[in-house]
Amino acid sequence: MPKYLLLKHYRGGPEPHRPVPPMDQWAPEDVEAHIAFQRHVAELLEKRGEYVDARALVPARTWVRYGGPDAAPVTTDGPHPETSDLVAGWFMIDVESYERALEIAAYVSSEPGPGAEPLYEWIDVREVMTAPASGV
Amino acid sequence: MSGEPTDRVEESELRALVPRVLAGLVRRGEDFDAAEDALQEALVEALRVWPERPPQDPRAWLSTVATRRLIDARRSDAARRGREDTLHERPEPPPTTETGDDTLFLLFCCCHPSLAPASQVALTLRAVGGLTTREIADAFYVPEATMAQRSAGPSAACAGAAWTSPATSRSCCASCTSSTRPGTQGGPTWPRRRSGSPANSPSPPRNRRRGGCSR
Repeated sequence: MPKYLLLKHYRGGPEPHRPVPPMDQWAPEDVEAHIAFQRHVAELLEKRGEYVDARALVPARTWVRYGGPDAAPVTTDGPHPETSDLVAGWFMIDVESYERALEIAAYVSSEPGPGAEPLYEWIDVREVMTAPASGV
Repeated sequence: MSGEPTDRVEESELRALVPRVLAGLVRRGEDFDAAEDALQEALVEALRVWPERPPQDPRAWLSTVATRRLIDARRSDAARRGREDTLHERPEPPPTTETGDDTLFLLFCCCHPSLAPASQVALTLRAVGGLTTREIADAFYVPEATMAQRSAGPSAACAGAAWTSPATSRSCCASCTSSTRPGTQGGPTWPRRRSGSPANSPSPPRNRRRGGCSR
């Protein structure tokens, strides 16, 4: 059974099918419905034995790298170009097939946005790499 | 209950007996879940009793005690529902009892064709392999709750169906085979949202049940 990461983004990815303002400009009931839907998806996945993990990330980001011997780590927290991808969260699923992963991703994408209309959000579907089988 | 007898009764020895005793009970026609429960109670009793009175034949002992528990459960059930006359009948022992290894039969039950492959694996590891749900979940890197759903197979898919051979298992569930495997087979297995549906009340999932066999 392959595992997939279904990534949701604050920004980045293909041209939005339905452009919407950032979530902090949504009506409170729309935000609530959106989050309730994410919980609903997680419950469905668990009932079907396909759930692995689900998380949301805050938008703040810090880049860190090794600073070299005897040097402190080098960090930067911006500014980042507005076009750079920014991951907002994910579902990790353990499913029978790639097709099944797409089906779930499309369902996630139908999540409610402003005005209770589907968001049509692009979901980034990434397969989790597995170690090559040893001793075959 | 006394807390110390585990060191005198070999736990690994007990565990090794579990699949074979369970297989015997299920083969005889007992409900899978009830048989598992009864066997659990028999194991608890074994831990309590064996240190002082070790059985001559541990497997037979477990089978007998589990059977008594099953009968007890059935009796109280029957009394509660007032249907003693019908529920008291013991299943007929099949002619082939005690020939060959029943574990193989249990394996066929766990690999019931109406179950998704993931469920077949989970169930086999639990019922035949004797692993705990936690152990199986760890091996597959999924949460325990997810694995528990997968191994809830026989009760959901084929509750009450009498398993006598792989062939009859297949036919008993032919009607639900196409709808019980998640993912690619059968009709819609994932709810679809329609534009304009109320956002704060996600539509209830269709086809959420794994199995369609009714008693």
